[in-house]
Amino acid sequence: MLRSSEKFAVIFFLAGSLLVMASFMGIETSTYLMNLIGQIAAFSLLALSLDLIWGFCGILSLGHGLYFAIGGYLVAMHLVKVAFEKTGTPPDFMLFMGWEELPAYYFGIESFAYLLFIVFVVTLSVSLIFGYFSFRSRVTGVYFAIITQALVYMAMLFMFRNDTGFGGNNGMTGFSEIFGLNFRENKTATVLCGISLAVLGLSLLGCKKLVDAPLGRFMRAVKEDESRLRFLGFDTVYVKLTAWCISAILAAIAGLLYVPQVGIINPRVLSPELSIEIAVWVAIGGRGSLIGAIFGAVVVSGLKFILTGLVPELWPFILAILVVGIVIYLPNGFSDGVKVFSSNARSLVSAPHRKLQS
Amino acid sequence: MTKFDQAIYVSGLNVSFGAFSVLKNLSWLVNFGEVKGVIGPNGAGKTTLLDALTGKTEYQTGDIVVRGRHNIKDANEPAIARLGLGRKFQKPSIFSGLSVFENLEIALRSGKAILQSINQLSPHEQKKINETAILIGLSDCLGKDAGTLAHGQKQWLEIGMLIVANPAVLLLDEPVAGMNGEERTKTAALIDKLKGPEMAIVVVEHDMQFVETVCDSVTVLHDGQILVEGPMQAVKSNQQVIDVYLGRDSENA
Amino acid sequence: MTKIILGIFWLTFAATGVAASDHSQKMSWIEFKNHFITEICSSKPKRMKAVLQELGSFTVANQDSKIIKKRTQWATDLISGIQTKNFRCSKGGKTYLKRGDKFLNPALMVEIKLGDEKYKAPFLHLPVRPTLETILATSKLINSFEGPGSLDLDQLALLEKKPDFINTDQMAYLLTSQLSDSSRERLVFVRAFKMLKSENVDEVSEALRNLSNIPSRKTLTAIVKVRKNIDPVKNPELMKIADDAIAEINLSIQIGKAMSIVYSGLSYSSILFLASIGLAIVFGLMGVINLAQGELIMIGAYVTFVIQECLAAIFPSMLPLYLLISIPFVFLVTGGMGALIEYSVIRHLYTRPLMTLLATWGVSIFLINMIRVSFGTQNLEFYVPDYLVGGLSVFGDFLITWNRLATIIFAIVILIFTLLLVKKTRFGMNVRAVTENRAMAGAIGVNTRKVDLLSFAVGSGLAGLAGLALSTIYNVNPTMGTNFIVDAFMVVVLGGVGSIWGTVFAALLVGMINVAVEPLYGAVAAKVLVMVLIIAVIQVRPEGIFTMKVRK
Repeated sequence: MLRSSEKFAVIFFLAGSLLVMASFMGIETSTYLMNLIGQIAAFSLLALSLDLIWGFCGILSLGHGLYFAIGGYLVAMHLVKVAFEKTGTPPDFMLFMGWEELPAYYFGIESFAYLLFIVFVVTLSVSLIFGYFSFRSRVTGVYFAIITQALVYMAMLFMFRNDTGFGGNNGMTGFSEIFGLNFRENKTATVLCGISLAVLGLSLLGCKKLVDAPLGRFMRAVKEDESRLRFLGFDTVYVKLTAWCISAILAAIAGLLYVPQVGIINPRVLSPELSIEIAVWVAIGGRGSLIGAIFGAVVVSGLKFILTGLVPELWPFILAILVVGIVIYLPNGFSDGVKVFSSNARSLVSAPHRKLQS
Repeated sequence: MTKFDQAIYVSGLNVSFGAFSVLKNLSWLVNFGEVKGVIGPNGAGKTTLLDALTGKTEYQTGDIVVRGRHNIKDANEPAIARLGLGRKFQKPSIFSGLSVFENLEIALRSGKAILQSINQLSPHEQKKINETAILIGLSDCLGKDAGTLAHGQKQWLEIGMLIVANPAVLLLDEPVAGMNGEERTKTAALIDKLKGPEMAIVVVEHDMQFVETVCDSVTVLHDGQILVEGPMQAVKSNQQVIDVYLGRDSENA
Repeated sequence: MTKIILGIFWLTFAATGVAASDHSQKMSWIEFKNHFITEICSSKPKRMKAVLQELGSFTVANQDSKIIKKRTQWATDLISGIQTKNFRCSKGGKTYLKRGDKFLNPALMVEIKLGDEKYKAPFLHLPVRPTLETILATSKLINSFEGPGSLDLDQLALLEKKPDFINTDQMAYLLTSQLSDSSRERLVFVRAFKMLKSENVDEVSEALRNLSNIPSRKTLTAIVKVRKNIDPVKNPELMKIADDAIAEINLSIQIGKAMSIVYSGLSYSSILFLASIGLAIVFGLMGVINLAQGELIMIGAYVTFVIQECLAAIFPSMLPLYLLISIPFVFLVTGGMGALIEYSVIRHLYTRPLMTLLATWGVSIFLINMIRVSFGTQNLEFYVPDYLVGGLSVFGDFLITWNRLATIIFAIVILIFTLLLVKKTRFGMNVRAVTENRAMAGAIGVNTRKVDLLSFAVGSGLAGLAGLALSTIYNVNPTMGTNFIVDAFMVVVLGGVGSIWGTVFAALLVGMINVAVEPLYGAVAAKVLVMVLIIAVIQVRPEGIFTMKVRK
């Protein structure tokens, strides 16, 4: 947090590239560790996407899991299709439904380029439609948050159905390979982890450029005082919509990176709890600080990995206390905490104007 | 006078909230080159009039025509603002987290198309911002966070944000509220400087002395209707106005 | 007149071709009684069934009401004796009926001394039992009927369950008495079910016409079965009557179905109202949404459970009243919890409404896990008091179930209570003042802190009461809150901030849509519809349907 986001972006990118190269040079790594880092990198990207819209534009979404799931489910479809092309038998969850063939909407998804295209198109359409109607009617703040939550809940109910071709309750699994790399190989985990890190680095850099650009200033202006901006003659709908769609696409990419690493996706990624957790990462790490959001995701999901193993019964209580405590005492998350304890303390003190609005 | 001299023309305006009627069949005219004061006791409908003019409040019947040709019946706030109506709010309304320069920059870009607002600033635009900063007396604070400004400076910044976008009509809601004497004088001077044949300025104020200083003519609103209109001297001696204000005073006492 | 009617029924009876009727006409009552006893002792199902029917006819064969009383009394005593195994036969043809510690001659009902023979109760084969029960019930009905009025409802219900085994003579006799309209109607239906099986075309068509007035699935199945056996060439008219009856019943069933959807929609809406009224008031007041509201509902249900268990352990006699007794406890506990949440968390976050979402989410996972650790994750089992079991059958399959009715009434009471609280009390006035303009209310001396704290507590208490109201209808477990919270949000968004009538209206709308659409197109479709509705509504009225447009 003390260093600029650009430096971190470069570090992530380089670390990721190194991992990919290392794997091709045949260097063995711990699959478990690679998976862990890769998943956390995907979560970090997810946190980054929410920070962009909440921290910089002041719009809290409690349903970002929806876009994460769009990326996740589409990549799962891709992997299922690839496996089907190899073996000729549909995955278990389809056999269970008595389906011999993949449904028509799996057409073409074995191509990775098409997958990227379709992720882009679906995410953009969903976010555009929902965003347009919400922003146009000036749904903001708590209203917007609970409507997004209702939306993700709705999507979860839909995915729980077994007849959708997306695995229903049990989700989609049984992937065999990605880019020709078998999931059983050690190398695959390393490559996926490396790609996730590199994508995280690139996204961080992109977000940094974005928030420093004029558009970013408009985003902050929306967060500060949207109606002022409107009375200056600016239609804020389009700033919000742009930020919203970019954020949604980043979240979808996060899902796209996440699912191959865990090897399964089920409707629980659409549960309102996960979506709120994303907001918790950002709140804990510090809204309005890109690297803070990543930090929050790393700390909380890292803690979750460790503590659910060690003290599974206690973890929910720890999380609850952490959330309530930080929200009350550190309005800007750890980035406040760091400021308080660092020599930069004056920046906090010298900013009495800081309205503690979220 | 042609209709193009009319900055704002209001006719038969009715605004009500539920059963409560705030503006009653109001007709009103502001010409270019004029500084018009709007006074009246609390609840007379001054702020509601500004709300109706800027699209914040819907009005039930009547017409508002801007610059002699634009009827703003169904337009939203940004569209009205782009017609050249700039409004300063009662409470200073600026982007506290952004610097003074960024505040002005956003105001400058706001009236333009989206795509234009993404480009870097042209030298011409840079110049415009600097000139405005000098005009409002904030050229030394361009890099400062707007939130750290003094109360008076925030008011000026807000006016600056309006004028940087070359408005045709300035609507100032209580521009000197909370200001000390020196700041009031400065604000009055600023309004004098802005005054010109291409510009109409509407000042809603409680401070009678300030209104008398800056305004060419005054409209007295009472109970959603125009009580009197004319130069401040005449208005001051009008018996009705005295009754309204004195009646108010005796209630307050 | 009576004679003529009886005569007609008599003929009808004869026409159905029950062979046994020949016997009964020849025999005297006393001869028949001995004949009956012999046949029962035979333990042969066919013979037993036949003689039971004969007994039925015999009880009403004489028109003297005193004699009928006597005979039905005898039938009642004897059949009860057969059922309770107090009637026994020996191999040598001797029999007794035990009453108290006395042994009676079953035919004459006088005391006798028993020899040393072995007596055995006649074996009741399964096919005999319905006839036995039905004849017994009818005899009891006739015996206990004292004059103008209703019949014994319990016995009538028995007949309705097994209309095929009734005795037509007894039915005919009963129908000649001065019955209340409702009893007569029910009796006609019972008879119609039996007549449906008749060979006589006129009887079947009469039965069909009668039955088409009772729209239930049972009737429908019976008629559809009969219709299959009708020869369309021979009996085109009967066919048409059957088809008409089916159409009419189908229509009625649909209407009944619609009514029961509306009814369960009302009860779900009631719960939603209870769950969201607190949310709406608090949101209007402080701009804060409490994500732990669902958990307060859950806690309300758990407190109800604890009270139930305590009563069962300490005052078992009070157990049936546990729902009423729980009301103050639930309100105080969840209200207290609400106050605690407000005081320890929300108070710090008034200027940051979005952060309250996260903080209250933290509270909600804390509460869920607290309950999970102390009670486990399984569904709680609630004792359902007798007065909430069952319901009133109204129309077709539509049943006004008592537990749902109680929920609806409860919600209405709470609605009235809330309206009075907000409109008539000083506290309510303060709430409205702060909702309207917090700064101004504070300036004129309203203690806004206290208003916030109290309203949050009341809102939480109401959520707790929602938990109580749903405990006998829905599953109660630590995560149940999630099921209600999203719908409750939709209610708040749709109804508008801080408007009680808006909440009522939105709760009705959301509740109805959920209940009406879910069985047809699934839960997702219901939620999608509500969502689309919300988005459509906020296009026109961003502040919700009922919020008045005011100057902000």
